[in-house]
Amino acid sequence: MEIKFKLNGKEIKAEAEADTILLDLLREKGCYSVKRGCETANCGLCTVLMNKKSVLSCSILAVQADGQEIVTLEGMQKEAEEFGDFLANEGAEQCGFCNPGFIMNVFAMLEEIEEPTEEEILEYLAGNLCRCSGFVGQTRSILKFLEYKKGGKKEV
Amino acid sequence: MSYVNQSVQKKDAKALVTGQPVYTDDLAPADCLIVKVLRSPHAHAIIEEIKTDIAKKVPGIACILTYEDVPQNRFTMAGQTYPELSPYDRLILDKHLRFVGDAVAIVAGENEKAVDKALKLIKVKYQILESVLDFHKAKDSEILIHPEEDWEAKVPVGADNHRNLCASGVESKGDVEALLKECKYVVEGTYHTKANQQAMMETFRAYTYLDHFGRLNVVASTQVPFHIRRILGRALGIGASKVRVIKPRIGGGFGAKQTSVAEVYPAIVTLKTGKPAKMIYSRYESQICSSPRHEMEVKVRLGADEKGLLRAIDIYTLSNTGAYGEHGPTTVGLSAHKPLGLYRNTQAYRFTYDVVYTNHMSAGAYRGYGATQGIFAVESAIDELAEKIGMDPVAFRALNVSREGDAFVGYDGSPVVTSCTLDECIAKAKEMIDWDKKYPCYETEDGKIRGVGAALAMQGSSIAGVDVGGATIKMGEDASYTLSLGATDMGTGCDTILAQMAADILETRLENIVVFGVDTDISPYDSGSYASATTYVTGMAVADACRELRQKIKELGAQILDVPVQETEFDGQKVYTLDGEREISAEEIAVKGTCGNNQSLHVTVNRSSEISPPPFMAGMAEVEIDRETGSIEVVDYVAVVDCGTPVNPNLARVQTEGGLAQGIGMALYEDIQYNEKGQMRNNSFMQYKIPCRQDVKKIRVEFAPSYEKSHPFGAKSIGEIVINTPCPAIANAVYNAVGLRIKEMPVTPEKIAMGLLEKKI
Amino acid sequence: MGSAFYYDEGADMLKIKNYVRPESLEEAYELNQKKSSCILGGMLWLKMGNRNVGTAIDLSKLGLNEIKETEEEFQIGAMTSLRELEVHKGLAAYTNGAMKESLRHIVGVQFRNRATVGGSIFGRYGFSDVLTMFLAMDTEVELYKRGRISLKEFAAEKPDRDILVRLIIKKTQANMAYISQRNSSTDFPVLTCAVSVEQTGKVNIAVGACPFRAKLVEDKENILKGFLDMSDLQKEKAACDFALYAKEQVRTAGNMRASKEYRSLLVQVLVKRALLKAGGKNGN
Repeated sequence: MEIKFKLNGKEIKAEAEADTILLDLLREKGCYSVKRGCETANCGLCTVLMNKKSVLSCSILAVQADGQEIVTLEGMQKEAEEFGDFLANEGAEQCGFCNPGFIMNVFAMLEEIEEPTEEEILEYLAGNLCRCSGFVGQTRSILKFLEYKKGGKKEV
Repeated sequence: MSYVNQSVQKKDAKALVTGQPVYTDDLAPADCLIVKVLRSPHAHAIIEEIKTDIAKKVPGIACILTYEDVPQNRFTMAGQTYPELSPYDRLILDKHLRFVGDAVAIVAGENEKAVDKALKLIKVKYQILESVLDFHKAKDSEILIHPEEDWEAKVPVGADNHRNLCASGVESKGDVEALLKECKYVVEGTYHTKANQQAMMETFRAYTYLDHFGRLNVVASTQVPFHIRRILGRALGIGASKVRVIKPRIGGGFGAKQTSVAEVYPAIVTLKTGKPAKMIYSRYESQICSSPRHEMEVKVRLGADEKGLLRAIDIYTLSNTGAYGEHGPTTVGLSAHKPLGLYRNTQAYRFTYDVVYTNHMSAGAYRGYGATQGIFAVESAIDELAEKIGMDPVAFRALNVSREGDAFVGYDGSPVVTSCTLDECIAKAKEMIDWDKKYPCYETEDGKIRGVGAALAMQGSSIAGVDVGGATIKMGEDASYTLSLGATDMGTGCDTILAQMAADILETRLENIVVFGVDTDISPYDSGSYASATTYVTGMAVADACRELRQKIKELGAQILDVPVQETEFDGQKVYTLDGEREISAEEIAVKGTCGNNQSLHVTVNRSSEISPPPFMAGMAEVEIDRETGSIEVVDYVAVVDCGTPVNPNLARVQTEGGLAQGIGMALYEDIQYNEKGQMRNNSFMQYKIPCRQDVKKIRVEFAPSYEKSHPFGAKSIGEIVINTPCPAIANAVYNAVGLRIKEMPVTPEKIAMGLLEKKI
Repeated sequence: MGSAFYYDEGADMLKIKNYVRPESLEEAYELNQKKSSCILGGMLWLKMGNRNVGTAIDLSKLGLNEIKETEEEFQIGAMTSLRELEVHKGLAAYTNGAMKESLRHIVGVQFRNRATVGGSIFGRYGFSDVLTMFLAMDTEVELYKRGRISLKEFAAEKPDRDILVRLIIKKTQANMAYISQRNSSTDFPVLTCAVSVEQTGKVNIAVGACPFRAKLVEDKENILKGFLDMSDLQKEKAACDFALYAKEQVRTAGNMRASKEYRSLLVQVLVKRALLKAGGKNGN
């Protein structure tokens, strides 16, 4: 069936079967930042924003996106670069495969909680797995980013 | 300007954090065939009959291959230097199925739905065989995993397929039995580690196509492009020259991708159909049929004299290689060589081992590579020995550890400890965790108990005399440099740290160096990134290549200036005469390199090392235990590492943090379980829980760098050693907290709660 | 419509023939009478099974994603996400934070943003934190055809083809506590326990993930009679006695995550702690 939805700010039309998974449609539409890391909704690699909330695109039918607003990292390049700089300053981007999903959820978190505590960060992002970094570098990068956002100076 | 020992960003950072399409599946052509494999539902069976005719009729199916369609060259999927120590015990598809998940048939089609449908329509009649699921019962069992005539061990490693032996042997020094009898203090214990899954976020994958020369091109998420080339050449019977392997960005490796887990399937499809094909392993497949850690049971006996000197070490390792022998003969060695190398006072040791075939999934090369298993055993036993002597376990270690200048005992990588600050690592870690105040344990306000535990580790830096690092450096017409590598950055940042080394030697800016890799047609030969080799041996190759290029630049500059080369110098910007009279800029030399030039500004160097200098580290854990529920939390983990010069301290730190988190996962959560049918039950991330960020709250890493003189910048390895301390440090901390000695990983709340209950009764 | 699912067979693609977003409950009900039909909720389990769905029914147009709080009750639409329950201030205040505690360990925020309360309750999963929590409260379910029945009754039944419309929590003056035991932070629970101690003196104790689905532990021996009025020492003793009683009453079994024996031990420990926590004394 034909569906219409907003993808990264643009209204698009797409043809989707009843069982097309949103993740696959997004990749087909060129949003290669959206990755699949598991089949059980456990890894967080496919995280995108749906109506500003972070969701797992592996667990949504493409047809369910009809009429909704979807944002992937392709639609937040400037923000990704800005935050990504902090991540890279820790070396915590590592293999990068989990980065897009992780970064999308960081943005969702900051939308919801202005100044999250370390504990809130760990809880909010618990559904984003990473096997390379051991997570602590990612946490450091978020804390430094928050500091910078608050008007502190950028640490290199 | 110096880049080595600076925390610069990774060269690919921006692409990765903005989600650019740089991984295998992002690059695969949209119209390539989808390849899937029908997997054996039985642990041990023979295919009596396989019917594919109905399945082949599904619209969109391009080919279905069975054991009748594959070359009969046995090979190993282990990505090792030829001749591989792993036996040649595989076919691409075999009539004999040896574990649940073994490949029964290959299906390729235009879309996933068609392939799924065809998979269901293949009719297989299995003759089910009795299986060997308990690795204690494998050796000399009547049930043979590899009865085939053409099974072959290329290298004598004590293998015997008629005894289910993938390798066996004994090494010793002195009379360990006699010495153990003399020792005042002796402990003995058996320690069991399971077959952890590597769980890199990007599963195994590759796509293949034929180029205009009819050669097989393979784009693969692999750590070993050159080995893949050779393996495919053999397995497909076309020879390595017909294969080109390209490695894009990789979504994690940890050793998993040192085995050619996925490549053969799309490769044979492309050869048979002439069409591009891709295979993307599902997480399910990555869990049940890939390349996990070797399950090992390590029996240790230690003896110390009245002064507390560790005198005798006896180790027996039983290793489970599963259905095939990938990395079986080699991983087992590290279970003794690395722990032995940690201690200096050993007068006699013995190391006996059996590596057995079973009907489990084949094991592979996982970070630590046997050292992790052996170090868990020996470092646990060391604590038991120290307790028997009545010594603080850290003090006992400090008394006995290897020091710089010592002869190594039992370590096969180097005769002498060329660089080591292990004593400093111990002292620093002790201070960081406040050992003297906290050891062995204390109670928290809410009635929980906290204990501290310590462990030491070492690894190697490359396989001595075997691994080859390669680097090609060339100057471009704009005086930039291109560094071509055969080493495989898998997210670790080796492309960047090697460029840092190159920039320092060429005295240029890091931005002026382009890194390229890997393409087996273009890149210099490199064994690949494994065995903690890249920083060390590829680093040597990079340094030497850059030095040679400097010389060539100088020669060309001198030629243009028309002066003898010995009267000139190159400072990265220009070649100038020593008298300061004349000079020519690098840019001008570079331009000359493209016009009327007979001097190539292009150098390729390969390097290997006769020694494998180990990095060392001390890890200390503080755990909090709820005595009623058995809940355990690692509240603090400190590590002090001697990796020689940390070429990029940030990346070295993240390697350490990541390795520790993986080690904590192995110690606490990752619990591989097989059922009685031989099915691996942890077949998803839902059933195989790797740590999430709430599970690893606090990790603190410091460095105590020695200087390894055999490396141009004093560096040693970091990638693997970092996974080795959590299992023993956490087990020791649990003992120190509640008096329970847990000898099988993982340490679950159940083991603690039930163990304490038993102790009470 | 689900929160999570035990997944044992290979990864196979979910196949759905038709997708429908009905305009009314009646339409949804009609469509759901076919065996091959399936109500979509969070979609978090559906794609995992080896499933062939004829018609997938999406209830998202029916306005069932709201939490309404009145003086007497909470009305929670079946399509309300677990995350909405987790961050709802009224529920947090009413349950003394127990609602959030019962949800925050479930995989991750993205998962809970889509997983629906209806799916979790309708699925009656053994491992369900949500079912355990709701059972300890005075909860009714509203089914499209059958109307309102108690959750206790509903939970004991097998899934049928009726449609779960909403959950109704009747407000009682009560103190609540929720405790779960997990092998790692976001894993399925090894055991769950929810307790509400009502001002009237009634105590409700639900235990789940045994690994059987959650059930109320009835105090047939009146061990907890007058619990609220007891002295701290008496409370401690009553909680210990009841915990031991619960250990005997609750049927447990082993699975990948824990043995039967360990679960029984946990029943005792968690019940005691939850009782003391909800009963006004800090447990240990």
